[in-house]
Amino acid sequence: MKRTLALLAIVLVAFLPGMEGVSNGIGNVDNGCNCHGGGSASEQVTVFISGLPDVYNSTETYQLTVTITGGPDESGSNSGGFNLHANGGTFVSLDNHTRLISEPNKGVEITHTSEGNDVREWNVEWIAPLDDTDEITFRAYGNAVDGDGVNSVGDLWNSHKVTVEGLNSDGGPILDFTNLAWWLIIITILGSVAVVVLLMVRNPAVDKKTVMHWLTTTNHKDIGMLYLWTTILFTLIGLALSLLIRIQLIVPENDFMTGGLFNEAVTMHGAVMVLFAVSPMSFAFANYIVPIQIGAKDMAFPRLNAMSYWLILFGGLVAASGFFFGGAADAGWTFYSPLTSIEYSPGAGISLAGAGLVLLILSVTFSTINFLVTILQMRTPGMPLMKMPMFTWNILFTVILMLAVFPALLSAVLMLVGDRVFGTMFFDPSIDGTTWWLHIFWFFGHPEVYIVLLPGLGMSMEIIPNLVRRPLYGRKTIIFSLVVASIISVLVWAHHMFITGINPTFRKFETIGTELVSVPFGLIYLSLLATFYRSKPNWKQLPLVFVAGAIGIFLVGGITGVYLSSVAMDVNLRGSYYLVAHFHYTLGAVAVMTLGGIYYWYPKMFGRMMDEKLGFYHFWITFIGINLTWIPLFGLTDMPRRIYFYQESAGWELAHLIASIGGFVVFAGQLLFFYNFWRSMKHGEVAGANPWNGSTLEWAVSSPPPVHNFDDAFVYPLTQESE
Amino acid sequence: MKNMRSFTVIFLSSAMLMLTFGSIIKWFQEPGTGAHAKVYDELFFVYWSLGCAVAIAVYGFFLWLVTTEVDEEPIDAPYLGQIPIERGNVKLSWSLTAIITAFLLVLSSVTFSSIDFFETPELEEDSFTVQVTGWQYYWEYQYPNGINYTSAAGEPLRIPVDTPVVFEVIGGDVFHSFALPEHRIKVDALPSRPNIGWILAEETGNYPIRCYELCGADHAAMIGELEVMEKEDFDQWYRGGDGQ
Repeated sequence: MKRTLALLAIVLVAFLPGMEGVSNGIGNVDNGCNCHGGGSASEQVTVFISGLPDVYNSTETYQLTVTITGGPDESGSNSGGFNLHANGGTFVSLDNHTRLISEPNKGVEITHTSEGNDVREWNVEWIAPLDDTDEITFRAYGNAVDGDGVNSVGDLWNSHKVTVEGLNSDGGPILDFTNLAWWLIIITILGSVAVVVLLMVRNPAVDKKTVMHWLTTTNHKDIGMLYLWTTILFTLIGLALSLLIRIQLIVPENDFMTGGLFNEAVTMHGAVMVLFAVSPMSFAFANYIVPIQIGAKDMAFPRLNAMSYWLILFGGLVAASGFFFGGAADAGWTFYSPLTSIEYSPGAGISLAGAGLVLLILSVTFSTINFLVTILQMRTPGMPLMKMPMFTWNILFTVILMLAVFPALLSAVLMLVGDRVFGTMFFDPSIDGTTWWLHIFWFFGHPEVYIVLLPGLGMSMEIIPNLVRRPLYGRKTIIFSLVVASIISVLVWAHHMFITGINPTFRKFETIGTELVSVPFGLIYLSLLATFYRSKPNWKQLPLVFVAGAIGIFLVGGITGVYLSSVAMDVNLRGSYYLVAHFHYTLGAVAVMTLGGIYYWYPKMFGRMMDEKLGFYHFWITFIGINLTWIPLFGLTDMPRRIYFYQESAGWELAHLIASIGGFVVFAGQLLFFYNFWRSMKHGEVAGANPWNGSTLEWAVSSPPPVHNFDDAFVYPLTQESE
Repeated sequence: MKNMRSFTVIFLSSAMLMLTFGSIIKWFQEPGTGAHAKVYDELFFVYWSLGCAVAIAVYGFFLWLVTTEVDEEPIDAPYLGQIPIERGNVKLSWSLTAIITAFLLVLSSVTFSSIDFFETPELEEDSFTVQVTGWQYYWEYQYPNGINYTSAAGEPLRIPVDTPVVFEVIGGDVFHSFALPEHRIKVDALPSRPNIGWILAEETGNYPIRCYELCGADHAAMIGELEVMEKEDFDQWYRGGDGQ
């Protein structure tokens, strides 16, 4: 019964965004007529659009009149205002009482001028679009103003909505089937599902297990496997979206995508990659490897672990489902208010993303508890905290950071969804909700990049010492550096808001704080390098090659990060492609480290090695592709991010052409990788229990490991002779 | 030739090194214009040279490390199920910490003198304030004498050359960011809270104005123009707009 209630509550959260939002009146209207009287629409006022046909003919001109009746008495001056919006065709202003707004979409929106502020009736012309297959929706907002010219007390407003059909309209399609880019998104989502299903059924473990087993499993290794399939799915979706962005920007003034769809692609690429792909993919390994590394038989709370997995799966699906329901979230993955308000983003996308994030945060919170208890309480006797394997250390810091900052995101998302669904107005601009959002979001957002980074670093710290045959240099230094980095990371969020008008002294503090981040990470980086001193690296081993490549990539990301930490440099670099290139270098490095991790632990999970030759091709294609994509974009310090077209005169086309080619090179490399992944599950060389000569405990059990990892006779540490 | 085995990684590191240099070459082809750009471009050069020096040092260190590789299994090589061995030097860690911190504090001091310049307008007698409001998807300009127009009408924001002009920037509907990339000036336009920026243009001409914060479907089209005029031309236009 309790379980059913919990399930119902989650379903309810997921469906909240479907409820109708509260409108806050006229937006986007000039001359101070924004939402007179505040609050909700008034029934005393009637706004009416007359002159519209039931069915319009292509390119025909119609005379429309917007009238306001009722409300406070007409005083002759400052008595009314209106805003008329249509999602197609063209408006024509007939006199100086009206003017078109919203460049460059001339004609989709029209409003009154200051001359037209003194009347309550306006005449405009509307020219129907050439394509008469679409439904056109007109929406007029009208203010009845009392004319005192002082404030909006006593003023009232209302709105009117009319939908007309085109001559050849078939009742209005729910989905936009004519848009190639949208179709590509749908096809790639379905294609990604197909790829993942192919990989899943190929899995040797699947033969023996039924579908019911995978739906109900609580074994940490099976759940780790499920995480892996799920994050591969989200990675493919994220990569496909990035390719659409690259196609759109490949030439100046491309019309492959509309601005709205481009924003959806940009937003979902960021949200899916950061929150549902890269970070949870390292948790696939955290689930699979950490309990074995510390000598435990399972996670502390296996059923909670299963719950975490199913929440993250449905969280991601709900967030991405916007593409099927009229448009995904489109305000950037940072969701800056007030663009996320119901007024400026009326579709379901942002609410769906919010619901998906709530599920993600629940998942993350359960995982955090689970990993904290597992790592702190379930280590095998003989393994003190300071002697834990480095991957486990990094996961420990990751979950501590998660516990510290995800509640901030939860509160932010709940307030946002509250604003959109219940009209709570937490982020109302009049109380500076924008700054409020920035603070809460970045208090989460900055540590989030460390949450993404630390597991990748942990993988490097496992791979390098084992494959270069020397112990990790400066183990204690690294652990204390991680402590320091975690503490600094929650103190420097305001460097994302350097030029929003926060206190100058505070900005200087944040500049120094941000620069200090490079002290612990510099030490970690140099320690990783120093491990190579008088070592015996085997450059034929793929995980080492990937990690070495990632180290090279990460240095570029780190150094450009120091430029950005300067408040003065940030004045120009903020919001430019330089910044985008910087964080793709850091996150790209994490992705390459994670690939190294997959090559490293693949034999443990599937009992076979991945093909070496294909792996080397994969490495070089990925490495060259990443640099080809992002090095040219460092040059675009003057190009704003998230713009869907640029003029030829800007001189950015060569950089974008190279970058787009690079994007496709990266994607091709990953297809090769998935082919290798698929092929090696049956044809790979059989791996023993310890193919890499590893030192941590996951290599002490068979590949794949038995259900309960260790038998009762297991004692840590093993002696060198027992090997 | 034991180092031949390191060929892969050497090639990899040198490639990265060159790419790091190449990353910002465009900068030296197109210097900015105006008082801010002078300060900014100098600052960028400081960061760029130090960044390159660090990159060379680190990649060089890595390359040297790989050449130290040995043929036989190292004596402390990890073995299965061992208790991890501690290696390293605490004094070295602390000295590295001190070096990196000192390096960063030097950078900070350079940064701070620049940001102080950016945020304290050096006003003169004929300075004035233009109120800039960001709307979806155009800019509205309001001069002290009442001239008021928008970039949607295709008109540029007009300012006189060699005169400090203050911008009071606010978002009319959503979060925008008012930027003059060639003057290296950017001011966030938040709804309901004005931010201050200033400009001292030193060359006449037309320059783009762009929005640097995603503000909706047509964010890309939110482009204005800045026209830096000779003082006399500006005065003539300004008085003409006064309604005389």
